[in-house]
Amino acid sequence: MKEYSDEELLSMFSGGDNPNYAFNLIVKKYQEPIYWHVRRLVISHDDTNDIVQDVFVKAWQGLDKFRKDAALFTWLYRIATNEALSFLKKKKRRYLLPLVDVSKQLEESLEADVYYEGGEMEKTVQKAILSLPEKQRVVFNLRYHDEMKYEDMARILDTSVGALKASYHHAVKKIQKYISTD
Amino acid sequence: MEKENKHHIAEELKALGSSLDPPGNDQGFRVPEAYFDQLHGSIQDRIKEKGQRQFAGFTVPGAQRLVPLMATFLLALIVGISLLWIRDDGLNGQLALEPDREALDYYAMEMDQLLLYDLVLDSDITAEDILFGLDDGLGELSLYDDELMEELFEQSRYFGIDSQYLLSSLD
Repeated sequence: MKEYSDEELLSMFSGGDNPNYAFNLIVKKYQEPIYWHVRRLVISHDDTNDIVQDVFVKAWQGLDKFRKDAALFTWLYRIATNEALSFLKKKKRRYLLPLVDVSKQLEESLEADVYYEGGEMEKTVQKAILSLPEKQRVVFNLRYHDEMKYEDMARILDTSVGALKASYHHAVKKIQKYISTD
Repeated sequence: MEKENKHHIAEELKALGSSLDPPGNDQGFRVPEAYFDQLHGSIQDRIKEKGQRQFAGFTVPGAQRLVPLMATFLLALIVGISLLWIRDDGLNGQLALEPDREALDYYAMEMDQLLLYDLVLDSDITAEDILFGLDDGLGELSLYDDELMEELFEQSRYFGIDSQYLLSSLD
């Protein structure tokens, strides 16, 4: 199947006879990276599944107002990041949890998730990542797992490249320390 | 989405003294079988479901914020109309008085100190004269003579006129 560029998909959506078809192509193109980005933040597959569906519903509702000069993938990542972080915030509020207990709870989700099959080393690395503050975790995941350029990350997170580099470096050091002392 | 060169990321990790593997490891996360083949279908279903729910409820963007505003506006409108109605129907700020009582109230309200002096303190006039004067154009007012007298006493007390003096003036 032909892979369309973002520009082609957007003009198919706004100018074509079948916006549903164009949107379906957008979903097919981005569902996997968006899913993994959210999954690494909220850990549980079921929660991720709900959030990803919400992300694309929001994208559908806002796509006609989307500025064509911005990149589609950074916009989708931005929605996904906001949805995942607000899910974690709601969880924290619902159970009145401090930050440490949220990461503990996410670790428990990791252990309990039937769709997680990591070995001991992988679990240790995951726990180290979960011990990071949420926003630092987002930065680490985007750079390390999504292999994203700092410039794109800056557009998603609305932060400077310098601040992102500093944040990523801190995150890597903390993870290294966690792994070494575990 | 153009990815960063894996080599750059690995070099960066090395420079930071990290023992993490280069990126690309899935870290043990899995999804149900054929999940991604069905995900776009679930998303389309969710969009349709949301669309139907919105259509069924006639929701428009920002409608949730409009509802309390509309309710406040309607409440203010009702209160405003009620106040106008009270002002029109009960000139002393009282609700729905019977028509003749309204007329009496009107005269009582209109009766300023000069009028009272004119009516009461002039020893030449009688209560009948006063009533006749007030009765002008009011038809069945005589049914409420007692009330009118009470009103006169009240007004006189208000203006500091002794009721005995008032009565003697009326005799």
